[in-house]
Amino acid sequence: MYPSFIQLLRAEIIKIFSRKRSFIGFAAIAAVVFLIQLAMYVDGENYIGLITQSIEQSIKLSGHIVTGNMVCFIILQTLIIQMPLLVALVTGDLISGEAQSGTIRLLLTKPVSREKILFVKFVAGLIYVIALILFLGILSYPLSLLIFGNGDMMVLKSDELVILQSADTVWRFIGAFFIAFLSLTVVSSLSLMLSCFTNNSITPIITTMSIIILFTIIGTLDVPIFETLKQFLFTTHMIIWRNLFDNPINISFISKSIGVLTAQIALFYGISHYYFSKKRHHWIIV
Amino acid sequence: MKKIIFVLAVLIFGLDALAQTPKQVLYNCYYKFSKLNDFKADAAIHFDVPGLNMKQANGKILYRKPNKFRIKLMGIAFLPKQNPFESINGLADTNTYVAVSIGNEKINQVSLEIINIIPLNQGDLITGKFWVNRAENLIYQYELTTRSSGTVMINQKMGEQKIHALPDEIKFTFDVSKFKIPKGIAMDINSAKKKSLDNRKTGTIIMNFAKFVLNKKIKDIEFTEE
Repeated sequence: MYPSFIQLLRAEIIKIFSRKRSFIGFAAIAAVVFLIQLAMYVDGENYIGLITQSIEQSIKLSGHIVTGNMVCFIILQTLIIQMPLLVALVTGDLISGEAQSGTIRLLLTKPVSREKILFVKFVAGLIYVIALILFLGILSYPLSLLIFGNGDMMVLKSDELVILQSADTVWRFIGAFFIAFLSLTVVSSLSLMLSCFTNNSITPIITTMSIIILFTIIGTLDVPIFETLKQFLFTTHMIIWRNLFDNPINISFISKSIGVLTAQIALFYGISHYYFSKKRHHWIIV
Repeated sequence: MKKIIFVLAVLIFGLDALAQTPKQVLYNCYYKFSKLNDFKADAAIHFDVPGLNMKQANGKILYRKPNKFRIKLMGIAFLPKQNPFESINGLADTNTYVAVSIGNEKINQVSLEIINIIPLNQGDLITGKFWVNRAENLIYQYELTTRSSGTVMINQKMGEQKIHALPDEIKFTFDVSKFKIPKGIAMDINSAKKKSLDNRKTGTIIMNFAKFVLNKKIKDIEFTEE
């Protein structure tokens, strides 16, 4: 009997969540979120005072500053840069892990096309990403609103403070989580692609992490020769969610980044598809 | 005969006005405003401050003689440090400052006399400059230099409440230092977009008032910040 897509997907999801490693991401997210919430609860006003002190020489700040919206933004700002590493930890060995343990041979003996197997693994990776984003979303948004209350949002940027009305924030956060999902899907696709190239489960994980760190460093360097290169790095476009909190929003700028991220997902998945389905790997021939 | 009486009246009142010392002119402005005990009004506040990006804020302005003042808003706002009416009330005691008329200027088709004041005590105010219409006993503009907040220019646009010396619009223009948060503190690392730097050294906040309620007692609790 041919296993259905759902059966294969269920098996992949069980595989992912049966590994302790898969829960490191959730634990790390919970720890960071609670630490930021605790810090902001205890010392949030002082932290904001430090930021606004230069502007408060002439005018005074009025109103409830440390709101759930603001705390959620700070959490996202801190975590979304680190989350790709947590995703790579799980999606980096979706193929290579099975190649190393030998279970890929068993999987390929089933009457299922390789394309389908790869697609199932890709979707399983997406589901893991969605689970991480939902977990982050619930801990950082509703919980922060519950602890700190709703209210206008002060967006901290290095060159300006943006004040958004509370009613104007919900859709921005939904957009931010969507862009975070796209960004992490790029990482998931990249690690899946690297995972196809080797039968060592650690190599694609470490390589993906190294690429993320390297790209992030290049992104922080204000050197003219890197300016063109930066346009092609997914790490440059991963942080575009922050521009959803601008006023006014530069729609074309954000759309371009969404386009680049989507294209990179397609590119990485396309290479994986080509390599996995057309090439004869030694772990299949043996 | 009527013409002669008219000319005499103009001369008498004109000379009387000219005979007023700068202190008397300022005191008359204070006196006109001091007839008002309480007032509240709807306020629409517009911000144009380098380093600050926020939309118009709406709320209420509350005042009670002599110096109770509050701008009541729902959300976050950056507001002027000065109570704009405190300076006018500060003109009440003419023994606390020296006033010197330094000339005249026409602003928005209104002829105004410029009077400088120097406080005699060592308070926060270093010096003040008032643009006054003698005939109306109204202050249209004033500039305060303070130890704590630098120089602040306050323009008042008179409207329907001119008779009570209440403006329809107050514009604050103040010095601002360059706004910059370290990227580490703002966690704004790896920014994808760089904005052109706003190098202006002054910011403005404009408050437009409407729906005035005058001399209806406002409860103390309404002046308490939540």
